[in-house]
Amino acid sequence: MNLARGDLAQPAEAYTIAEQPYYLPVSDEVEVFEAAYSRRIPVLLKGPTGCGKTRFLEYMCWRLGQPQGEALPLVTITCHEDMSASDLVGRYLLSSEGTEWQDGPLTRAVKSGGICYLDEVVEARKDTLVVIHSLTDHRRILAIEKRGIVLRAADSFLLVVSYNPGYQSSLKDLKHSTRQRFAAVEFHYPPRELETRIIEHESGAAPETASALALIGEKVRNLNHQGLLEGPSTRLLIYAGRLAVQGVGLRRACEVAVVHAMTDDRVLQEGVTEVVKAVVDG
Amino acid sequence: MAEASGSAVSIDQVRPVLSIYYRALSAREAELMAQSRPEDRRQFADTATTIRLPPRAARFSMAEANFGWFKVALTHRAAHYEAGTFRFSLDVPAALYPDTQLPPAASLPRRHPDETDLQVFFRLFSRRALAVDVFTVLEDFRLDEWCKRTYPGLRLDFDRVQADALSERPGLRSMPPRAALAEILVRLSLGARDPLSLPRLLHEPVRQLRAALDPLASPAATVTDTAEATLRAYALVTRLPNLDADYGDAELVDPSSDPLVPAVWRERWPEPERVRLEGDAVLEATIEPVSYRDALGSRYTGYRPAAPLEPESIFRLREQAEGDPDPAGQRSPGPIITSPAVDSHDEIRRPPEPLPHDHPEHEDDFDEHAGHVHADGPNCFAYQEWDHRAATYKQSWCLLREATLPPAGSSAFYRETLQAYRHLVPEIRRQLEGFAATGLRRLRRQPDGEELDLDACIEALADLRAGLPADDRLYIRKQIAERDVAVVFLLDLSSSTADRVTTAESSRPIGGSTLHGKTYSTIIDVEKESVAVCMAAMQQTGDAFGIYGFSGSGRSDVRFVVIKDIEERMSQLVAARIDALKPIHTTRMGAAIRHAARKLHGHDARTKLLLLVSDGRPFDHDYGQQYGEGAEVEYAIRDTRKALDEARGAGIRTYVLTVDQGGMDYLRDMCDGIDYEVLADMSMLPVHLLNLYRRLVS
Repeated sequence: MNLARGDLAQPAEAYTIAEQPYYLPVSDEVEVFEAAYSRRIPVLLKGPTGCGKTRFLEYMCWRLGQPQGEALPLVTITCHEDMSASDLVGRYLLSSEGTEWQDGPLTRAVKSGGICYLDEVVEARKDTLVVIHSLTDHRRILAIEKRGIVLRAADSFLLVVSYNPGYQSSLKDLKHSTRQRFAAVEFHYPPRELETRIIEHESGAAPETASALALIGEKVRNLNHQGLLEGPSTRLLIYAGRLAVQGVGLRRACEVAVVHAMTDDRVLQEGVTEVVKAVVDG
Repeated sequence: MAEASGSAVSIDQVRPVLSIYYRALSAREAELMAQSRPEDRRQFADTATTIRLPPRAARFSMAEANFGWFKVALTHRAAHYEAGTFRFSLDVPAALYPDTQLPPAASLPRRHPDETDLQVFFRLFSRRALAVDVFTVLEDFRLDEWCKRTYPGLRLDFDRVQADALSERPGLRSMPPRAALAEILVRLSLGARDPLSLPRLLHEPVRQLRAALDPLASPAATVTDTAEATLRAYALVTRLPNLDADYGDAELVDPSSDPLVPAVWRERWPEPERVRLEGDAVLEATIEPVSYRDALGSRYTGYRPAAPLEPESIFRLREQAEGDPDPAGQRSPGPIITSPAVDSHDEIRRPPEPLPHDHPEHEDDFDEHAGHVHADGPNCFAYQEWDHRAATYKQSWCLLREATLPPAGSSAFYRETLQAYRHLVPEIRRQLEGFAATGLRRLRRQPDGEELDLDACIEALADLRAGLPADDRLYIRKQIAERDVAVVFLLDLSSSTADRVTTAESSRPIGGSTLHGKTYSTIIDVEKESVAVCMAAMQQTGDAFGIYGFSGSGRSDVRFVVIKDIEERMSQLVAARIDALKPIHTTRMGAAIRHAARKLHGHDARTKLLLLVSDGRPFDHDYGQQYGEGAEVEYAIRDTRKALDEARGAGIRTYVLTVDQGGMDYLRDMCDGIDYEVLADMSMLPVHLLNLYRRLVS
């Protein structure tokens, strides 16, 4: 599902979403994000993996761009431990004439506007992240020290970050001085009826299949306490649905996409399999 | 799933998997216990946190089918929560019985503000026991149909289990009419629709009964519908006489056929109280329970006993109104009550005094149940305990007293042990110091280090060419740093450590069979030797370490013995303490672990380690016994596990070492996800502990 317009390769800041992404709101997150965007308040999306944060953002980019006739650009940066400030802001590269400055993805987003999305922000080193502080307050500027310049963010620019505050997550956490620059929207797995429709749409499975998968999701998530298990994510259920559409028996599809994907513990695998066997006729 | 002996399946085999299954379905945790008297079908008392099942399922010839029996039983129990049995509310009307028989909610007085709606409902009936039984059967029918729809994968299992349950039902021929109709109700709930051979007196009631029950099979049926059906079924049953007599010849009746006339419900609710006569017991209709279903009598009225106290609760439920103005609160010694579902011999059982979970050996008036302890001195600490049944912490539950061991006469023990192990300690020390080469963190962009950071170099070069000053952080450093490690060794000093270590003499690493003047070793001896060896090794490595022991006796007296405190410096005085270690009493691991973790919190180090050495399972007098026989094992294990999880959540790496040969099973549950080991040979503990330490910090 390639939503980008134009060539297969394009500048990161030119990436926009061409068609309306499928997103079913769970509560008022759409309205809240719209309100935040209209005042350019940076947003933090919190939630377990595979519950719709990225899809939500794509939908919002599309939706917020409608008055102008095209979606807002979306620049995604996936954060990791080795990421340095120059990875975000830019660096001098060696060239045949000497050196050439190359903007990093953050700088490009700041210049072109639109949403800059730092995914898994808690993985980045804290000294790297302070680079964004000036973009998240009233100043909306980015200092590029090596060039000795200060960039003012384009009017449509907004910073959005995400992370998964799960129980088993690393002891990593955001600094409070960073954290408190964002309004946080929490995401959870959708309730069963909603999830059924999502699975149906995204996988092409029959309504009874989607309904069975949503029921399995709901029941297995009851094991999320005390770190026994995390998930299954909506994404995994969609995978199971797609496999089923391709002709893999639903029990087997669940085994592959849900049971074995989530855990290696034999007893847990058997317990979850018993739930699958109860919901799905053999 | 089959046992070696055939197709029977035991509850012990399937407990781990089915506990997870039950938890997933119901979103609740419950203890799956074997019934202590499986031949007594009435003994199914489930509570909010325990489920009792037969120890074995052996009804079918295939193991899979027997496993399915357990699965059906648990699915049924989970359905009570999923399908809303306990959400019964008099304010919610029934969906499927348009001519409601329930009186308006406002007209039904509540005796106490916290009386549940179900309690109020059951007070409508004068034969309360029968009403509860009828409601039970009807609700079970609604739930089984709900299960078959919601879990299509279990339909075959349900059909099989229900057919089997039907084949066990008592015969109708010898029953008086009322009892017979009650029995037919059960059979209808199990799906029986075959024609029955009965006296004409029963024909129309059977048809009307079936018509009253049918709506509960609909997806729209709620627990209020069950209440409506109960009013009708109860009326039909109690209209019939319960005396043995000749009611004429038996003829066939088809339950599925429609009633000849629409039923007329002339009963008025609440029923007026009956005058009880002597010999009434004979007239009571009893319903034989269905094996795979649970018996929730007391729970329908909202009473939640902490332990299975079924007789007491039913006693309260069925008390006569005039004998007691406050039936839920008091246990009046009053009139004799028949409670037929309790005791199959129709004996009357009053609740025993005192209640079964008292602990007479704790004679002081320390309250076992209200229980906040107070730390009353500088070395006293109050700790919480995790009650896995209630899924909550009991705050300020354990009182832990920390005390430093007084030194024994001299440090001779320490010296002699080191002498005996002398070849071992330097070897370990060498290995500990040499771990620098393997698996370390690499810090990038450092001002100095062993390697160049190429990315940083290129960037620096480019900056230089661009006319900017270059960053001088161009190296990658391997992070040995100072060994920033703090370790706590926590040793079990329970009385079982006085047990001998059975081991071949030749396997003792010290070679000789006499050490310290003894020709055998007890577990505590080996622990002492380990302490000495660890002290010596840790001295060499320079890591901060603490060595502690724990035991105690009851939650108000958990003893935490300091052999060497983590902040203390090693000295002869400390070494002299080792020989003073003696076994104490029981093993309340949870509190000890929490205190050890506290020791590590107070110490600043990047790597924190907690090594727990134990010889047996966590056990104390009042460590779960309140949940009934056999529950203390799981309770203690869960609290111990919770304490270990808390430590891990605080960044402490935990490791459990045990020598309990029987420890394989319980430790597995306790330490799933945590490092643990069973030592085959306790006498190898000193060596093993050092090797372990080496592995964990490298």
